[in-house]
Amino acid sequence: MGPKISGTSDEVMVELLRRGDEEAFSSLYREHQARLYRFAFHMSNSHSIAEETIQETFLTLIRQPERYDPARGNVSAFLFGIARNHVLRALERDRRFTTIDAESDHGSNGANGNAAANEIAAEREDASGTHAQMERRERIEGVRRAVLSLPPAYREVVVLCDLEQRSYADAAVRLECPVGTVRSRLNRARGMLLAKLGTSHGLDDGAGEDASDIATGSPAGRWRRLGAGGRI
Amino acid sequence: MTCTEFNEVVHELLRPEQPASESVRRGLEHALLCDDCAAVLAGQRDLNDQLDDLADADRAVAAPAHLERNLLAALREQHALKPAATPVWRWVAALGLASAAVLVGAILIVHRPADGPAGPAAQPATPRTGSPSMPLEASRVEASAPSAPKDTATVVPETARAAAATPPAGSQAQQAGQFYSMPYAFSGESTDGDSVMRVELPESALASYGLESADGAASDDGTQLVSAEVVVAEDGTVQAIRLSPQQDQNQDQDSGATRF
Repeated sequence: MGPKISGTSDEVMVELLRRGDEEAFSSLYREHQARLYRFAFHMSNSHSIAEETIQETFLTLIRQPERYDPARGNVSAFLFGIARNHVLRALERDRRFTTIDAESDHGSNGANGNAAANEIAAEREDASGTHAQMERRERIEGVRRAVLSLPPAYREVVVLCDLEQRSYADAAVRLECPVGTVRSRLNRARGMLLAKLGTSHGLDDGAGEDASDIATGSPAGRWRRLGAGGRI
Repeated sequence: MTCTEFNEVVHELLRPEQPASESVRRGLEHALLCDDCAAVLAGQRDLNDQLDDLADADRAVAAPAHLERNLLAALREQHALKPAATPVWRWVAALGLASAAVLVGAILIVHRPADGPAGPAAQPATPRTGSPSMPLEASRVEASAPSAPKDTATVVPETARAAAATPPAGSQAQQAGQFYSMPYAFSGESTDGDSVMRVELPESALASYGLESADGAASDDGTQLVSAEVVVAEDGTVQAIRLSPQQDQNQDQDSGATRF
């Protein structure tokens, strides 16, 4: 990731880009592309959608730099807004044709297949691969599938706040919603993840939880049971 | 803190961004006292670890290099297509020229000669040539006027009809030297091709135009000839008429005035 041109604000960078400064563009691109790409990939589990998202996002910046308004936020938030809209449109477009399981295969079968899945396959073929590594990889893929099973509104807060480690406030700016909404959505989303992953630490096994609970955003049953008769 | 309250904040207890606030402290204390909530907290910690593993596994995921090259090419193309900005001096020059044109136009309009050059409206025109011996009825004159040779009458400048239309009908219009516009005369039309013809017509014909003799002395039978000038349009219709000052009939006849 290339360093940003020293001493230049977002506004100046966009102005330079407007004039066709390639260095300014490269600086902006290298600063933001990885996070945007990861966001799109985590949301879709598709490298092709992630690439498409990056391309559309930066093409918008190239062709319509006047759309960036410094008064409304920094370049990062501006680019994220474009990327997010594109990803959500792509998800909606593909929703009827792609199942969750197919989604997880989508990346690994594509030209830019899921790197982690490929790594798993490689490890399986590699006799020297340890059992622990394989278990870890499989667990990671399980988490990935669980995240992908969340409704988009919950998935994006998990991606932003847990995977990208952004603060609630930062996520709220990017998602254009109040901080309280981010908090509550994250709480629900994590409950759904726990139910999906069947994580048990003294809790009932929630692996067989009704999928409608997840689809509707209802917290996992065991969370409700815990909350019913708590003690001080 | 109740377990319900604990469940509402548990996901925040392990976040690094959360300061050691009162709610966090109370939540952690509650987890120490409540086994169920302690298990929930452990589950959250385990979930955090799994999500961290996923984040770590995808840490190196980034857009392929060819995307940047393609986008740079798009940037170059975008600026190659964009026309060069017009220099400021060109805008200033264009603005100056436009202002000058407007100013000149305004001056021409304001200083347009109201009375115009000396023409038939101001000075009665004298036919250069003509067919003096051709007696015509007034109606026939109107009908045959288009075929009349243009060189038999003086071309009326555009101020002629304006001058003709200006005087109101009535006694003032009947005064010699002023044209009286015919009721059916065109207004605001081009005067190209209009002619002024000097004619003689009986006093009785003046009445049909709503005029009286300039001197007001009409003969008993109305057959006395009076001299007048008419503006004849290109289509042969009479547009205006004025009585000529009293002139020597013989001189008129010599000059070839058309007799109605």
